[in-house]
This record gives sequence, structure tokens and C-alpha cells, in this order.
Amino acid sequence: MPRYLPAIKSRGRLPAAPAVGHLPPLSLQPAGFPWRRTGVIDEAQQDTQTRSAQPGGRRFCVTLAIMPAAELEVENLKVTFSTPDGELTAVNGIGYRLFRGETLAIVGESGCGKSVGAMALLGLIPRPPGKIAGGEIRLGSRAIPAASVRELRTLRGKEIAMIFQDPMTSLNPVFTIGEQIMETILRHTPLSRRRAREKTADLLRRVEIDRLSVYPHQLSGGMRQRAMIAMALSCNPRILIADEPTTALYVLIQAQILGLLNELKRETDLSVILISHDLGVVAEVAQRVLVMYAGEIVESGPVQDLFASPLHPYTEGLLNSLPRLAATRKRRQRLTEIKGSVPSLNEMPGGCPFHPRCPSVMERCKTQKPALLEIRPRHQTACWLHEA
Amino acid sequence: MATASANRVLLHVRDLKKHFPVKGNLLNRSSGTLRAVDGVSFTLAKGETLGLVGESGCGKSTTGRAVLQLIRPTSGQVLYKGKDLPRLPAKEMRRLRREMQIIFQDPYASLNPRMRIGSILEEPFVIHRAASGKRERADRVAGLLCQVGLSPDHARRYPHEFSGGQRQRIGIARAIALNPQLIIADEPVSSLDVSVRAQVINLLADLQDALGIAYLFISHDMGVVEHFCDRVAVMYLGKFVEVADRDTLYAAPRHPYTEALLAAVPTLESGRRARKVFISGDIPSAAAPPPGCAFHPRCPIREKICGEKEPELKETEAGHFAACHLRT
Repeated sequence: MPRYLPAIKSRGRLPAAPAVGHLPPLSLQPAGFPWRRTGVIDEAQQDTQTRSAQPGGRRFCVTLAIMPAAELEVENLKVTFSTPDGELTAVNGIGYRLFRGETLAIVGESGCGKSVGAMALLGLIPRPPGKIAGGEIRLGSRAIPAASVRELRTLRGKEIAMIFQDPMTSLNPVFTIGEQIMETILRHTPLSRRRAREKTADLLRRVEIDRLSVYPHQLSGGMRQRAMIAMALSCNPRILIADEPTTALYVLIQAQILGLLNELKRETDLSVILISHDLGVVAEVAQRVLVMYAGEIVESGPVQDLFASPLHPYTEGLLNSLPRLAATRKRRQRLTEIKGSVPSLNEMPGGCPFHPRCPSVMERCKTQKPALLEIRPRHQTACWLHEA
Repeated sequence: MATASANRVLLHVRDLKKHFPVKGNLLNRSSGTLRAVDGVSFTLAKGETLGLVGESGCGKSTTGRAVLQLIRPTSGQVLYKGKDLPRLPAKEMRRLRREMQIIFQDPYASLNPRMRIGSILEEPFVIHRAASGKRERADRVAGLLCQVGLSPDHARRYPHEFSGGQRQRIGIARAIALNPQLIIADEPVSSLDVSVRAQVINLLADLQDALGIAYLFISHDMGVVEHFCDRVAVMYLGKFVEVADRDTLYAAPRHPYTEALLAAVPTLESGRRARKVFISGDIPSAAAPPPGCAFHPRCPIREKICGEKEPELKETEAGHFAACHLRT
């Protein structure tokens, strides 16, 4: 897929304005273009026609160039598992874009498919029983079918790195953390053993661990997670997938880890996919949010928008069920519950998967599944309440 | 808000200590003890909820278990309705156990996987001979299941057939079986999903309103504690660093550790909040606590005295205690 947007290599310097004739007509732009087909470009072209003779003719390029390009694009990813009960769908055709330097949060409860979706990006789903039933992953200019695990494996560690929820079970207990990080570096880069060791020491120092020859069990939970982050970033990936990185950690350590991730993001222009069920953490670090339920995306949008005015009843339910930290409040207001529980994969309801638990359910919801539509600028949801 | 007047005090803990001996060369201290709980005192009134917050390793779970005598305290008094539990003869203690129960954190480990739910919930009645015969036990079990929002025919199932939230409800049902007056809730919702937490917290609140149970609510989740508790105690390395009413603690904390905790909690409005104070480093081992104030190596406002002398828990205003040289 050709990139119509000139790549922004460094901030502050804008590329030169191409002449009007070089701007591709709207009809040739790929369907998944990050911004709407109204507004920006029409305005820009109009502008140019009146100003192209002037030095200020650069202006129209400014409007385009500020829009970041999609670092990663996932389209129609579908993951199934074969079980004695038949072929169960864990991820049912999700698609999203990750832009450079942003943190995209994927939110949902256990069993909604968020972790499976992320692991599928790196070819980590065990097959059998898992099967990638469809989808494509586009990284930069490469398009990789999601089912091609061999190709996805080349991305692992180098372009896309992942850190997991429980560092104790994700780190190898019989090797020191220094050895584990060096292994990653030696595998993906041409550095010599000595240089790899130096780099490992640097990385660990950056995450405030001053020793290489310690085993994971000798470290606290927070330190193990920091070691994992060092390992994940050792090959300078463009994208970091963090699967519930702080869920198992105490709140103070969580704040440290999130602060560290933010700093590293700023230093290296990293893009992060953060998977979490903790909406507070998401509000703190993410710019955009996807809400998943039963293997599908039910809402997606900018973080403040989504939390201030959620569109999907499930998102609203999640927000209302949080005990909020407030300075003064009436004692013990009842938390709003979402009745029922997440359906198991072999008991998926027909129509909209949320309808049995939805407080605003309509007849239509039981038989027809709503599609993901944009209701407000960049804020989409899949719900019959919002469709005409 | 419940005040602890003399005849309503259910539990009075005085200077509770639990030390574990540590063998081997893990320490460079000559004493060789791990002071998990190092002098903790508090009261709990009937129907009140006291929150106990702190990091993993600070001793809060050990405190809860030591109160119930699941772990024998090294020293100190645990006065339940005036009786000192560690010194009671076994028979009397066993009788009192009907009134004190515990809900565990891990719903996957706290139910025997080889027993049906009905048998698990029958056990309290069997052990304490609280029901006359099989029929009555079955009725009581059915009643318990309904009370926690499950159906009576779930009694025939095994634990693995339930979700985490449902198993936690079963754990709660087991705890309320004999109408206890005191329940130690040890991180009851930490391993549950967000929307299930709301259900379980509401259930605990409803049971408290219906049965007048006092809770010792152990958690590391400041948001849940704020919602549910009347008073809160903050623990660090085996000692209380601050104790106050819920509203006071969250609005005007005194101890720097409490301030850091509250600042570190991510909230939905955090995007607009001022930059937080980061506490660096990790909690020291309870086997080798720092000299003076245990928190001083990580404290943003520490002074010389903090490394030399241990601060006492002092009452700064009615019901508000803090252990800090600089803030009391």
C-alpha cells in the first residue's frame, strides 16, 4: 500500500509542499485513510489554487503533514479455537489502526478476546487448538496475512515487542535477567556478545536495575516488570504491546511503571498498545481506547470523549461500576452493576452479543448484529441505539 | 458513621506482633527475624468497616489471619468481646470461631475443587453442629445460595463450573453461614473483573446492612476502600503509619506515604490533575527494616531525625493518628 503521506522523520521540520498536480485525487486514496474525506483536503486544494503562486503556498502541506501515519493496521482479524464443543470464535473480525507515538488502549473484561487479539499479532496463538481464521496485518508498507505465523515471527521482538501480565511466569526462571535480555539482542541484532552485554547493562540501568546477574525470583514484582520492559525495548521496536502490565502490581509500583513507559515513549517515539481492564490506568496513559466485548469491538474513540460521554451501554456500565476516588461523597452509594456475566464462547447470544445484559435492549438487538459506525468525529460504536 | 463506644467495641487489638524466624544467610542482621506484624493496635465496633491498606509484604494479610488466630501471634492481645483470643482454651476458641470468619482473595484456591458446592457450604453447619439433620442443612445451604444471588440448584455443581465472581460469592456464602459478627475480607475483589467487583461489593454492603457484620477489609485498591470503609488504616512494613476516618484520610492525609498512595491511584479525571509525587524504589524486606522510620529511605520529605528515631503513632486530631516526626 503506497503511503500518500510524506513520512515525518523528525518533529519541527515540515517537508516541502508538492505542487497541486501531485496530490492524488480523493478517489485513489485507500479506503482506510485516517481522516474523513470532507474538510481537510478540499479546503487545502481550494487554498492552494488561490495561493500557489505565493511563498505561503506551503500552507496546504502543513495541514496534511501534521496528520500522523498509521504505524500498524489490523484488518478483520479472526481467531478461533477448536474445542470438543466445536469451533469457538475468540476474536470475531476486529480492525483498528495504531498511530505513531500514541498509546491505544484495548479495554474489556476477561474472556473478551483482547489478549488473544494481541498475541495473534505476533503469531503467539498455539495452533492447534487455535487458528487464525482471517485477517491482515499491515506494518508500515508490509502487509502480512494474519495466518502467516512465520512472517509474523520475524516481527517479534524486532518491530513489535510484547510485555505480559505476570512477569514471574513470563521470565525464564533458570536464566538471569541479563542472559535473557542478551539473548534477545543477540538474536535480532548483529552486535557482538560484549557489546550486547554493555547494551543490556544500559537498558537495565535505564529501568533502575543495577545488576545483570540476578534471577527473576530474586527481584520484586515491580523490578521484574521493569526487567521485562528492558527486554522488550532492547531491539528498539516501533510498537510495544503491553498486556495488563500493572494488574498484578501494587498501585505505587504501577505508577512507577506507567511513568517509565511514558518517558520511554517520549524518548523513542514508541507506539503502545495497552491492554487493560483498569479504566483508571487507561485514562492516565492512553490517547485512544477500543472497548471489546465477546470478541468484538463495541466502541472506539478518544479517551476523554469516551469516558465523558460513552456511546455503548457496555462502556457506560463499566464506567458506572467503578468506585471513584472522590474527596467527599455520600457514604456507600450503591455501585451500578451490569447484570449477568460475560458469555462463554460456546454460548454466544445471537444478534448483538451484549443484548442479554443490556439495560436498553430493543427487539432488533436480539437478532441483528449492529456494525461499527462513526457517530461522532473519530468516535465509533456498534449499537442499534445510535443508528438511524 | 460508627463511633466506637465502650459497649459497642467488638474487637480490640493491642500491640499485635507476629515475627517469623528466618534461617540461613539471607540477612546481614544478627537478629534473624522477619517482623511481619510489628505492634499493631486498633478497635473495630459492631457493624463498622475498617479498611487496611498497604503494599504486598506490608503485613496486612498476616494481621488479618493473626486476629482470627489462623496464625498464632507472637505477642499482643486480641480482645474479641473482651476475651483475649490467643489465651483462650481451645474449646472456647472453637465456639467463638462461629462468629469470626474470613473471605479469601483467590476464589480459585479457596474452594476445595473436589467437593460439591453443597458440601462446601454444609461444612460450617457440620463442624459446629448448627443444624439438626440433613434436611435442615440442605435448606440452610439453599438459603445461603439465594442470599448471595446464586440459585439453589447450584449446590450440585463443582467449583470449576463457576466463574471467579461466582466463586467469590460462594466463599462469601460460606463465611456468612453461621451469622458471624466479624468478617475478615482479605482482598475479596482484587482478582475479579471490574464489573463483577461492583456486584460483589454491593453484596458485601447489603449483607452488612442486613446482618450488622463488622468487616476488616484488607485491600490495596484505594478506590474500593474509599467506597466501602468507614475508617482506614494504612500499613507499612508491619506497622500502622496512619489511621483516620475515610473522608479525612482521603481529603487530608498526613503521612507522606498515604499522600503518595492517593496520588498514585489512577482515576478517570487524572488527565487534568497536577503532576504526581513518585515514590521511587521498592519496599524493603521486613527482615531487614531500615533504622528509624521504616519509610524514610523512600520519603520525599525526610530529615535527619527520620533515620534515627522511630516515630510513634500519635493522635493529631480526634480519631486521626499518624506516625511521622514532621507531620505530627
